[in-house]
Amino acid sequence: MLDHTSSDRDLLDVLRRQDREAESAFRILYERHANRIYVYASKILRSESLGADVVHDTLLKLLLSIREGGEFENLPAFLLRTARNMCLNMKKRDQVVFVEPSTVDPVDHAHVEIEQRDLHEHVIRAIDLLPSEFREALILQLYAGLSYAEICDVTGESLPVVRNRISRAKQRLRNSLLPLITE
Amino acid sequence: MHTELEDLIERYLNGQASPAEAAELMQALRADPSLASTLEATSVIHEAAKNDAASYRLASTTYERILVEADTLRVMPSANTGIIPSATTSVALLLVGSVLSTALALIHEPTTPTEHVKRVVIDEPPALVLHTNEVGSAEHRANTPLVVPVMDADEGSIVGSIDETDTPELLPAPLRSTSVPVERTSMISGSHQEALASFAEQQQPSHHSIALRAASRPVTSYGSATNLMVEIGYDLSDQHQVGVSLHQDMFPVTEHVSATEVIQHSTITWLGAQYRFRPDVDLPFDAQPFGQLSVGGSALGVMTQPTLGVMIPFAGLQLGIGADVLMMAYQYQGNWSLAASPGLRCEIGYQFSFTNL
Repeated sequence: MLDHTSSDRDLLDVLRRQDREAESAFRILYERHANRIYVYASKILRSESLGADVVHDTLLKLLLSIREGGEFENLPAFLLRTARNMCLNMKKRDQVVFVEPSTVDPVDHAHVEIEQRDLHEHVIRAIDLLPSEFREALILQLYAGLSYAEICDVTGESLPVVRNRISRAKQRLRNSLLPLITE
Repeated sequence: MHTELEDLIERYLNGQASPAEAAELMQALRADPSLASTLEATSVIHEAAKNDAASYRLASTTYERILVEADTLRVMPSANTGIIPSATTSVALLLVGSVLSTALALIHEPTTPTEHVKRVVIDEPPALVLHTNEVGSAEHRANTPLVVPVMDADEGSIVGSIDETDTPELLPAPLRSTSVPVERTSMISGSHQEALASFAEQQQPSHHSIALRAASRPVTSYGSATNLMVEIGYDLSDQHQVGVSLHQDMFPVTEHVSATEVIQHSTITWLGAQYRFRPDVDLPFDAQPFGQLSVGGSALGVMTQPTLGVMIPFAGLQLGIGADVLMMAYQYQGNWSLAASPGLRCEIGYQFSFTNL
């Protein structure tokens, strides 16, 4: 019986068998992983609509890979690696076009004090301004919740490089924040 | 910041620090009050990212789009969940819809001046998606109908709208959407705007960074001596730096000017160009290893000085130690000779940054 406690491996086995539980297995996998891919791709591409496209294509790629007999040692890493490649291709194809926003769409932080909200907004914008390799490593850690080892797996970089990028990214953010905090 | 302390703060903020580690952090906070600001800043970064990540909600239609596409590609058996109607049901629904819309069109006069619309651009997913609730929670946004404006292609004016939630679910979206992304924006106060502008400048390619260094070689193969050098380096990137340097080194050389005249040199002054490489590695105390090659010339010959060392940031300065070999290729009685002097190097530098050189 499938439920949300079923492991990725068990769910993938059900999908491989292509039986009547396949859709249920896929739904559980979707609910487990889709939002993480969505947040990562939306942040990297700076677009939620393109982020949704990346989720769509990544999970279809997963289904196609399963049909072709693909094996997945670490499903989250496979999915984020696939999503990352799609993001890189989109960037290369210049598919990412930015328009000046005409509306204001603030994140809801009603429960947070105004000053704290400003600090949070400052951080989010500052992350957006970081050099791309720092930004990606930070998003994979803070937004996608990956460990250093998983980030290495996704990006293909060594552990010291990943640690250094995240450390320096946070150092830059801290340096930017400290004058505001100590004001 | 010390990498171990940084890791400790990370573990503490993630709730993974053991009681002993938490006590160690508290002790460090008492010993260094400035660490409290660092802890607070790191906490703000984590909280901001957590809140921001939580505000992203994937629309439920994405799942349905995948199922439709998976069904088309035959990569998953149709589960008849009600999301994917069979082909017969789809045709029947389309026919019923067509009949109903025709009947409604006959009953009601069109409110949109159709003669004004020459061509309507609705062949792709929304060209522009407007959130009807501009100020709302992420969940609220995710559950709120989206309004897609219908544009008059020739005049560019909005002549109507389609509630996206009313569109039939039978039509799969294309594999690659061409929708124009809309950035998230929000209000932010003046002081934050200034800080962000400054931060943005520092992250941009137009940001320049120059290092001024003074170095000495207190210990060389020729004994202790006052060997001095001044260097100016320009950062091409975080890893690569190029620059020029002026050196005065103890380097005893006997120059035979003629058969009867000999000049003894004890020091050599030389000018060089240099390249410094700083690999992207993580070391304790934020130490930064480097390799450097200086090549230049003096009145006596060609000078080369490869160096390996490490820099450590301290009180806004860069302190460095390393080892090098000073080599000079020179002519003696018509033949080229090479002299070398290995030594230890100490340096102190200051890095300053500016925009638009």
